Amino acid sequence: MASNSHKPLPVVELKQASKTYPGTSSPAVNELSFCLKEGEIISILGPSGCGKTTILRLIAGFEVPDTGEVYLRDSRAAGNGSSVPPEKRGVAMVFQDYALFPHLSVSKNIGFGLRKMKSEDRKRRVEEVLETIEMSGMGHRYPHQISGGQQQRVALGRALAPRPVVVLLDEPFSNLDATMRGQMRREVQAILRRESATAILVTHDQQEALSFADRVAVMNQGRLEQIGPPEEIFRHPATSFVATFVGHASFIPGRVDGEEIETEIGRFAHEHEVDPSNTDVVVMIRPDDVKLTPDPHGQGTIMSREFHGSRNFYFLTLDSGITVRSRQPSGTIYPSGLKVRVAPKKSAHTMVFPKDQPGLIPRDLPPSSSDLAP
Amino acid sequence: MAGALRQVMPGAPAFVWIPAFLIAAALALPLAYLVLRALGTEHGIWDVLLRWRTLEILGRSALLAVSVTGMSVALSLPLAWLTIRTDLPFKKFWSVVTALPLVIPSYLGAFALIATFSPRGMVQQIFGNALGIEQLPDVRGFWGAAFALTVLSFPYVLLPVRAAMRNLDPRIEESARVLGHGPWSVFFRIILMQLRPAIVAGALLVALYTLSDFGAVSLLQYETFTWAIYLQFNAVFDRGIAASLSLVLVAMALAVLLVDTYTRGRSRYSSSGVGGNGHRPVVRLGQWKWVGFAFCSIVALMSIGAPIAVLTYWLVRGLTAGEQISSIWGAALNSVYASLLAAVVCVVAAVPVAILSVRYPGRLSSLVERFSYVGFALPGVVVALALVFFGSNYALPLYQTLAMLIFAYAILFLPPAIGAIRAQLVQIDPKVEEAAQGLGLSPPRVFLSVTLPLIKGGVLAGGALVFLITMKELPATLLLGPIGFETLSTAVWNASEAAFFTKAAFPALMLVLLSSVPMALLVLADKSADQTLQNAKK
Repeated sequence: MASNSHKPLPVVELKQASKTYPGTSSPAVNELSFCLKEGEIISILGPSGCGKTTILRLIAGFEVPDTGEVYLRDSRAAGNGSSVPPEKRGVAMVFQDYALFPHLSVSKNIGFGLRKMKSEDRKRRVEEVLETIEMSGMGHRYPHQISGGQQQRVALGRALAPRPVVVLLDEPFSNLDATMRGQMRREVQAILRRESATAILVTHDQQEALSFADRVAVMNQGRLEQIGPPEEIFRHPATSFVATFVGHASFIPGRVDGEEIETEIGRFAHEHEVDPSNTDVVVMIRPDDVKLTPDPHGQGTIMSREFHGSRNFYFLTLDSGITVRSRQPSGTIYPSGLKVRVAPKKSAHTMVFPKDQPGLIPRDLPPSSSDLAP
Repeated sequence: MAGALRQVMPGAPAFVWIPAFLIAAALALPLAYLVLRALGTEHGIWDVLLRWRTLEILGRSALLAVSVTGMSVALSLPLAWLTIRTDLPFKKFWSVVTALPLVIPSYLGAFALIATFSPRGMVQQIFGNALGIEQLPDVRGFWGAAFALTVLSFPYVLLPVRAAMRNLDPRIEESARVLGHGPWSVFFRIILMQLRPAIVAGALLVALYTLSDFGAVSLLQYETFTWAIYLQFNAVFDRGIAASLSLVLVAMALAVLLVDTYTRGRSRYSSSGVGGNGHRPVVRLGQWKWVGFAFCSIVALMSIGAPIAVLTYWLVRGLTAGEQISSIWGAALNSVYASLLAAVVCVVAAVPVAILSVRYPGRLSSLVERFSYVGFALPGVVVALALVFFGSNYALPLYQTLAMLIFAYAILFLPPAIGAIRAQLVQIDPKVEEAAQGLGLSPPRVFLSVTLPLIKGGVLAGGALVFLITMKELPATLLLGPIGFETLSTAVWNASEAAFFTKAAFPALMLVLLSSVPMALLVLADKSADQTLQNAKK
C-alpha cells in the first residue's frame, strides 16, 4: 500500500513494524506498513485495543518496534534495535486529556518546545500561534483558568509551535460532548490546514475519521485492514470488518449464478471476481439501499423501529431468519409485525465477500452515534 | 444567643454545635493562659525576647528545622522516584519499610545514637579494645540531632510526594519529551514543578515536627526552644521566662503554618489524572539498579535497622547481666491505658467538630475548626507548661492527675483525629443523610444510624493514629504525668538520660512493638481503601 511514486516525499513511513508488549501474547501492532506524505492528514480508525495508539507511540519514540523500521523524513528513527529518543524526533503529540503543563501559563506552554530559539523569535512565534488558535491576549492565563475547548486549542498550538515533522493526535476529541466534538473537529482541522501540517489522527469514532482526513486507515487486531480515501473506505470496503465498522451494513447470504448473485431479497449484478469453486457468498448492503414495500406475501417482517428525527431506522427479519436494516424517511411509519417486501434500490451499492471470510459479523450491530447525525 | 448562632450556621443541630463550641473553647485555654502569663512576667516579655541567649536559641532552632527539612526532601525525592518510577527490585518492600520510621520516636533514635557511639556505647564495648579506636565521633549537638530527626521524620515528605508522583499524568511528561526536552530537563521543569505542592506540604510537617521535638534535642543536648523551656522550667523558678520562650516557639510554628496556607492557596493545579489507556513508563535502571538498591538499604538501615539492632544488643546484654524486665510491665500498661483513653477522647471530640466543618460550613464553624487545629502549632512542651501553670494556680484538684494528662493529649492530637474523620465524611453524599431524615428520623437518630456507621473507618483510623502518637509522646507525659506514673516513653527517657542503656532497651523495644500494631492497622486500612477505589474505577 505504500506508494513512493507520488511527487510529495514521504514524511512518515512504517516498514513492517511489529510491537508486542511484555506480558501479552498477541502483538499490539503486527507487520504494519504505511506512509504519509507532506501536508497529508490521515486518520487511523479501529476499535479500542486494535493497536492504533501504539502506532503513534512508535512514531513518537515512546515505544521501540520489536521488528521493522520507522522513518521520519529521510532518516531512520527506529529499527534494528536502535531508536532515536522522542526529544530528538521533531514530532508533536496531542493527547486526549490535553496534558497541558498545569504550572505554566498558556504562553509558556506554547513556548515550551521552542527553547532553542532566541527569546525574541520565540516571543514572535508564540504570538503567531496564539493568533492561529484565536487566543491572542490570553497567553498569561493558566490552564485551569480557561475552558475545555480553549485547552484543546492550546494543546494543539503547543504541538504546532515548533513546526513539527508530523502532528500525532491521540483521540483528542473523545472527552468532549457530542456538540462540542463536531465544532472542535472543524476548528482543529482548519488550524492544521492553515499551518499545512502533516497529521495523524487516532480515533474509534468512524464519523470523526471519515470527515477529518484525506485518507483513512482501518485497523483490527494490530493489522491494517484497509487504507484509502474516506469515500473509498465507505463504498468499497475491502473486508467485512471494514464494512461493519465503517457505516452500517447488513450481510445477506447468496449464491453466484452466472453473471448475477441470487439472494433472498433479489438478484445482484456482481462486478467482482469470484472464485468459481466457491459460489457461496455474502452480499453487503447498506441500510440506505434497502427498499421496503408493504406486502402481505413479502419475505420480510418489521421487528422494530427506531425514530431518529430525520429518519426512521427499521430492523427486519427475513423468512430465513436473517436480520436486515433499512433507513426510511421520517414520515414513513410501519407498525411492528407488518409483512413487507424487501428489495435493493436500483442505485444500490453492494459488496460481495466469500462466505467463509474470517471476521465476518453475521449479526447486526445496534446503530451508533453516526446514524443520529443529519 | 442560640438564635444568632443559628443564623450563622443554619441547620446545625444542637447536639453538634454545642460540643463543638465547648471543645474549641477548651482548646484555646492553654494558649490564652500562656499569653497572660508571659505578659505578667517580672522581667517583662521584651527583656526575655531580646536577650542574646534567646536569639541564640532561636538561631539554633531555625538552623535545625531548616537542615532537617532540607535533608528530608533530599532523601525523599530519590526514594519516591525509585519506588514508583523504576524497576528497582523489591519495590513494594521498600515502600513499606520507608514508611516505618514513623513508628520510632525521636528520643529512641537519639538513644540509639548515644548507645552506639558514646564512650560507654556499643562500638566501644565491642571493638574498643580490639581495634584500638581512641576517638569516637561525638554524636551530641547539631549533627547528631539533625541526623536522628532526619532519618525518623523524612516519611512526612516521602508519603505525600509518593502519592503525588503516583498521580502525575505520564502524558504531560511525554508531551514535554516530544517538544524536545530530554529526561533531565523533564524532571526539573515538569516533574519537580508538579510535585512542589506535595514537597512543600511534607516539608512543613517536618519543620513543625523538628521545632516541637523535645526527645532528640534533649538527649543529644542541642539547646533549641523545647529543651531551653524545659530547663528553664526545671531549674529557675521564674516561669514567666519559660512562658515567654514558649510564645516565641509558638510564633515560629505559626509562621510555618502561614507559609503552608499561603502556598496552598496558590498551587491549586488542575490535575487531569490518568486517562483510559495511560501507559506508565517504567525507567529501566540497568546497572544502576544496585546503586538504587544500596541507597534504599542504607536509608532503611539508618532509620529503623540500626536503632532496633542497637536496642536488641543492649537488651541481650542487660538480660545476661541479670537485669530485671518485670519492672517494665507497669509502664507498658500505663502507656497503653493512657493512649487508649487519649484515642477515645480525641475521637469523641473530633466527630462533632468534623461534622460541623464539613456539613455546616460557615464563618463560625470555620473558626471552631481553626481553634481545634491549635494543637498543630503548639509543641508538647508548651501545652504541658501551660497546663502546669493553669493547674497549679486554678485547678489544683486536677493538677497532676491522669485527667489533666489526657486533656493535654487531646489538645495536641485532636488535629489528626479530625483530619481522619473529615476525610471520610467528605466522601459521603449528604443526600444519604437527607434521605434518612426524609424517612422520619430525628437528626441524632440519623447520626447514629446512618452517619456514624458510614464514617466508622475514619473514626477507627483516627483512633489508631492518636493511639500511635500518644504512645510516642514524651514532654507532656514527663511534665504532666501524675507522680509515680511511669510510661514506656518516660522510662526510656529517664534511663537513657542517665545512660543506663540496658535499662532503656527493653521499654524502647516494647514501645516500637506496641506502636507497630496501630501502624499496621493504618497501613492495612489504607490498602483496603486503595483497593475499594480501584474497584470503583473499574
